[in-house]
Amino acid sequence: MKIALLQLARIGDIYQTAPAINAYKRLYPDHEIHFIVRHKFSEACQGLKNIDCVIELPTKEILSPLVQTQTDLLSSLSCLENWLMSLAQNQYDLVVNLSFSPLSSWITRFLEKASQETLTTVGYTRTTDGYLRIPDDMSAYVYAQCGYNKPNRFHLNEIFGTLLEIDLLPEDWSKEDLPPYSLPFEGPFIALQIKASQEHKSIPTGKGIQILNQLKDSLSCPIVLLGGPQDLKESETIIHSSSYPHLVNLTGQTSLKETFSLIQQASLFVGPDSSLQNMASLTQTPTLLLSAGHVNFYETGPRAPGSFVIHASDFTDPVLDPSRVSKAIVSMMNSEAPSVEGFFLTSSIPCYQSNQYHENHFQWDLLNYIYRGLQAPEFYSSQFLLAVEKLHDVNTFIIELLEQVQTGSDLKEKIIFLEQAEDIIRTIEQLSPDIKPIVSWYRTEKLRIGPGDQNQVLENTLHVHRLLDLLTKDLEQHCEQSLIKQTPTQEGIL
Amino acid sequence: MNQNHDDSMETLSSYLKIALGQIKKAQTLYNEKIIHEQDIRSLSYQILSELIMEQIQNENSPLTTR
Repeated sequence: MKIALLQLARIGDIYQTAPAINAYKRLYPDHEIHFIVRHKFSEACQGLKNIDCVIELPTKEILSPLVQTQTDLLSSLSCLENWLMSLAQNQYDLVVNLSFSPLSSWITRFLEKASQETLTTVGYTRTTDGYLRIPDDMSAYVYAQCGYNKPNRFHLNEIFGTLLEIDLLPEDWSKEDLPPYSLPFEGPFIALQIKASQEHKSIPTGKGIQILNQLKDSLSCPIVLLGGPQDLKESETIIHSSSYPHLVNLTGQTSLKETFSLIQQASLFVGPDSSLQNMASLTQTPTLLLSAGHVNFYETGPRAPGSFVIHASDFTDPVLDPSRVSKAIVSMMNSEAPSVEGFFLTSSIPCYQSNQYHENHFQWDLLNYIYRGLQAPEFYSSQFLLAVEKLHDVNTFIIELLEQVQTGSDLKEKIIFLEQAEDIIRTIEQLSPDIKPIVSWYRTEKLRIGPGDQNQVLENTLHVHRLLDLLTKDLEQHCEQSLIKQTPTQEGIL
Repeated sequence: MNQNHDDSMETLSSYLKIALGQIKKAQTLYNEKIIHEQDIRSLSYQILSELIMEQIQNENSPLTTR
């Protein structure tokens, strides 16, 4: 069996895919895995195990003929087509698209077409008329519920595992054995990264200096600064401005492979949401993640035992105050659980849990109810009940319209009403954001309806609306029961 | 990021935007000629367009392009 995994995202996502690849190979050691990545990020595959062949997408070669005074469109197209055809000639039994991007969906579609439609694919692809096609439920879930500001709390590691239809075991967070990095000191040390690939996720340089200054009286171990050549300026500022006496600056001096070894040797990794943090999960190095910016740490956070996450919307939040961060670092270096506000790693789902307060799990509970058939959320607001009732009403109206079309009415006459009904759903969503997971589910299921004749499309559309009908009816009942329980009785008031 | 880098990125982006326009025209002409909805060449045009658009937007993370 020959399987192609399409991972055209960044370095961090390549590392996030590794546990699923390890698990797959653990179960199917004879299967041949081809890993398709961008040339720009292919260095990240060094140090990963269980990949039989790395195939690079040569973006630069493909686009070079276009970046000149006389645009050579045919050369560019021919270069791309040669690459695509060589991929198709590998005659894969299965292609799993792990990228969730428009580009990757078209490449997957190309491979299906080149195989005369005999290829099995998982993940985003395209219909014969070019619309996005999401054949599997996990990818549909990702489309609807994952990303920044979305309620998902499944980790990307498990999402990739599910796409490959395997369950991960702790041993799957591992990498290739690499020679140790030669350091100019001995004993325990901390690996620290300040800059992430994007500014909004990076620890501000001033804050990094303050954290280090706070550690001066509590720690005496070396702290190694890590980063790419583009981070040199910030590292030099930190080295010159910080009063921590045991700083070692290796910024821009290590390859990704060497960084891997170095992080493995560290007692603790501290950093923002970045590819190095994802490396630390594979080396099983306890990590303190300083999570801020447009990230969902539930999806991308550290997986080494003993890891801890301090999360805030941005680095000005008091939760990420240097005194708190340094306190957490000292605790973790003493193998103690940090006492500051944050999230510790658990072996359950979701894999992080707050140590200080009861989180608002409503939207996550709602997702579990919709997608996993688990118990409906326990508590509801009257606003949510109202939104569910309105959604149910408008959905009933849509079903009636579609049934009229099914029995002979002209679709064209109904379109304006159907469009107005969709507008009402948008308004309900805006007025009651807690209902978003249901609306996102509904929209994604409608998007998954493939091309066909009018009767087929109508039947499939009605099927989605009938499912929404069942869902809203059931939720209405739960809401009403819950609100009765929450309403104090007269005796209670007295 | 220095000024030279900004300039070269701007030039690259403007080349790519011109190329994208040409590809879209070529793609439309090609798609008008073919009988079937998609074939290998029409898919190649589309993939090339997507690749260019990603470069212009500098977005290739799954969480941003989804």
